[in-house]
Amino acid sequence: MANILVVDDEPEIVQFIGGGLEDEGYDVMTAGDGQRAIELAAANQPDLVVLDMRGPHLDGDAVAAELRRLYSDIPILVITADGKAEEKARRVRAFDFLPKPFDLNRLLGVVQQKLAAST
Amino acid sequence: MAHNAGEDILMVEPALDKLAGTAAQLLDSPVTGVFLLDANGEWFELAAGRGFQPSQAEVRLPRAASLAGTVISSGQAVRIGDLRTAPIAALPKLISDEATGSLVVTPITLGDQSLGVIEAYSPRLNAFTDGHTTLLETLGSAAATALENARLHASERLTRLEVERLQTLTHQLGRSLSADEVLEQVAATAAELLDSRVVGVYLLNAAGDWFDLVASRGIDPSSNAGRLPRDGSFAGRVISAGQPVNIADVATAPPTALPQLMSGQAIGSLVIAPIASAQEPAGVIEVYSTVPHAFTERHVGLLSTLAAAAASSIQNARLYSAEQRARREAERLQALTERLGRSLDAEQVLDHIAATGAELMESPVAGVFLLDAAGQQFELVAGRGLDLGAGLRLPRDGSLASRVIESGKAECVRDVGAAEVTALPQLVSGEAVGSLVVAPIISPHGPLGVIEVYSTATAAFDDHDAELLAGMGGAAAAVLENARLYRAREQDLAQLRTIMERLPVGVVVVEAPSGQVILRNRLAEVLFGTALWPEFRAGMRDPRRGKHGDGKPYRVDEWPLARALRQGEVVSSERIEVEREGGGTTTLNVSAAPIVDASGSTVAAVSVYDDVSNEVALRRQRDHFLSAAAHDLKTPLTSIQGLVQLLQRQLGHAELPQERVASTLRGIESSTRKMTGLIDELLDISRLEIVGELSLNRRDIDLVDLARRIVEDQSSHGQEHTIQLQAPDQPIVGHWDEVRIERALLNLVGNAIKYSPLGSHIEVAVREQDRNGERWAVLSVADHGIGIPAADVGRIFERFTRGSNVPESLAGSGIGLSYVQQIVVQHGGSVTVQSESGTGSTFSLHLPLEVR
Repeated sequence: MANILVVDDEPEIVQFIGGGLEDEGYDVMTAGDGQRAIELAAANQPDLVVLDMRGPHLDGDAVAAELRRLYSDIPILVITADGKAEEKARRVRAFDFLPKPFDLNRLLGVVQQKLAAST
Repeated sequence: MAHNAGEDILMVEPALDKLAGTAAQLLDSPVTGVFLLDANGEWFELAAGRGFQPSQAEVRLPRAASLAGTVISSGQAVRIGDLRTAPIAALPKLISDEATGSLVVTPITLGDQSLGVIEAYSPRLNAFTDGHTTLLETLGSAAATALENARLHASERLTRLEVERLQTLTHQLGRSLSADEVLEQVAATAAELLDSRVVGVYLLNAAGDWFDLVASRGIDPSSNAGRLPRDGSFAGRVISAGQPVNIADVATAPPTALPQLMSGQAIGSLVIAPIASAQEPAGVIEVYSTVPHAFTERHVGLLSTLAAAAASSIQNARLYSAEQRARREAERLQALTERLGRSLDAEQVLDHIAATGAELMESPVAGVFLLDAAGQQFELVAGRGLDLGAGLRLPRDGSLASRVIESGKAECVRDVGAAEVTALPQLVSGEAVGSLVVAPIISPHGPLGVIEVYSTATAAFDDHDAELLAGMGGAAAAVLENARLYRAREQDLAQLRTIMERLPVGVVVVEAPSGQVILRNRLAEVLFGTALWPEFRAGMRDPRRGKHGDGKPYRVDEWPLARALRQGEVVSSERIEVEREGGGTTTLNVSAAPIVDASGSTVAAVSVYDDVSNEVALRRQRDHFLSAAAHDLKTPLTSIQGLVQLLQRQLGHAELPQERVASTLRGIESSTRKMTGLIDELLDISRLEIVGELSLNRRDIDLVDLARRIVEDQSSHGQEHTIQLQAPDQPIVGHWDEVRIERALLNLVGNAIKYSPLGSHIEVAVREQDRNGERWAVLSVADHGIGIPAADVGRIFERFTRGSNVPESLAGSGIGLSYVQQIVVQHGGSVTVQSESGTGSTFSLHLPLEVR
């Protein structure tokens, strides 16, 4: 089963995204800051990353750049609460973005579709 | 009315000729005639006709014994069917020779004036019917109208010609500034308008007993020694009566002095008009003819008009020369004043007036007296040959000075002894005053005083001196008025400057059209910088680069002041971003308006610069705060929505362990709590903003316990930081609002986590402190993070203020520390901070343990 990295500084967001994905049978790694996210990704290549763009110790652009350095084609799904979601997604070459608040079922659908397409 | 003027007849001839032709045609008459009464009303002269031989052109009918005369007298048309049976004499030759046929005659009348007749003749008997008579009557009316029109036209033409001449004269007189020139023009125009070659303009001499010939046409200037006596001349009588006369026949008039004509001919008639100004008779104009009865009433009227124009022109010329003299004096005074360092000091000026007066009158004694404040006395303020220190005064009542002030006219007293002049000043020389001249100093606002010049001799001054001194008095008034206006203007300006300096906005006034700065206040200098003013002065170039809201720079002519000055535009509150001297921008609200004078032309423009940078920044911060707050609220909302959806999915999986569901529910609870906290915080902020204080829910709480709970809670979440607590074993209990103190502490710990690197240490310490006998609790949170730059430490508790070293990626409203401080202040405590950029920060809450 696919391995998914969920990065968000808000524990409850990480909890519901991770929970939903786990319930669907995915392997899930979670990180609340950028440094942790890079460590996890470096140790174990994720098939897809759900990335929050902003947090106290989370610079979405920097994390995305490092992920691309490690795995250039890694699919990134951007989740963000501010108004410039689309612009940010384009900046980090995300395959899709979801502005907060978003529908969990929608996220699960987007992830499933992407993984199905890439396998 | 008599139509004697040949010119009139000539003018009307075509019309009358046409009428005669029409009569011949309509009445089928071979002979028709239009006869007009001559000047004396004795004869009808043929003016137009048909069927008359050229030799008969001078046909005329006597009024006394003609059918025409009867018709004119009765005013009725007459028709004669057979001339043989009518005893009518004086028919035109053509008709009387035949003595047969028929005739119809109709009068030409206008109102009750008889002008003439129209006659139509036919060799046939009873050739004319009633209809023909009516036709001829109609033609008679037409002739009357034509004649009247022609008369009116001719008379109007003449009047217009006269008016033009008079206008030309007036125009020339208006430009003539010397009396001689004026009189020459008057003589020339009189000759032209009255169609005479002999004209004399005489002016009364100073003594008023002779008329001097001052301008003439056709008169031998040496005749009668160029003058006429006042007594026994027509001119003298005209001057006395103030009315013009027409002496139609000199031969029948009483003998009088008449000038000798160049032509050597005798004078037959003359017309004389007085030249009199409002005050006094000046002279006469006489126009002569060699024949009697040469002039009409119209000529008399014309000459009167001319004389009136002459009188006012002479007056003007005299005033002009007086004014010129006055101006020369003023210029002299002005020059003296300027030489003394442009002083507008009234005393200095008056001293020079006195000096100049004495000098010009060739007298060693002169004084300037000004009315005192109460207007009761004249005080000596400047003089020559007078003791200025003696406090010399002249009374207002009964003094010569007073009379001069009231009449407004300078006076010359030739002999003080004879004139019983009172209140004379004591001369320094000790001598008595023999004569003096006094002139008023009168400003537009009223009398100011007098200038007096004295001589020990009698008859030292004449009217010319009085006139000269009057001019100086005028100059003195002008200078004093200037000095007063200058002082008033200085006061006004000083007031204006004070007001401008106190305005909370920058003000700049530039004059038109140069754009030179004539007024500005200090704030304007602060906004634009003194160093840049020369550039501003040089012609509206921007002292600073200004930008529109969209960043586009302002063109030179786009600045409000330039628009007000050049286009007269009123600009209201235009927002301009201006580059600040030390970098950054200032936002100005700029208004400008032209200053127009009474005639509507722009004389200056004023611009007001209101620095609204703070308001703009505040609004920007508010916007930022709102978007940050919205972001903060969205986060737990996202969690709640997601967790609820997760729960729904999990409830669908029957085999899912209970523990997973319980964990989801805990997540929902935690997010809900965060959300509630955020909303409470926003409500507090809003309440503090509106009411200024919070209603605290105080109860006894243990600060040590509170700190421990928070440290444990935060440690369990943020495993990446090490949070340590230093606290005494025993509780520190205060009477506080637990929820708010907890929120303040959470804010500080949250900030410490947020602004320090992962894995670093955060120390939370609680201790009790004795401060001047009072017990205080101190709770501090220390991190080893980015710290706060020294420049920002002082402002870090201000709302919307964040450290300048905070990365853009770190979301924040800038309200947290301000909120913490407000909570503590509401508890009677304070917050302090120790920080160093790059090293870390320590925030301490100081809370009183006893409620005061």
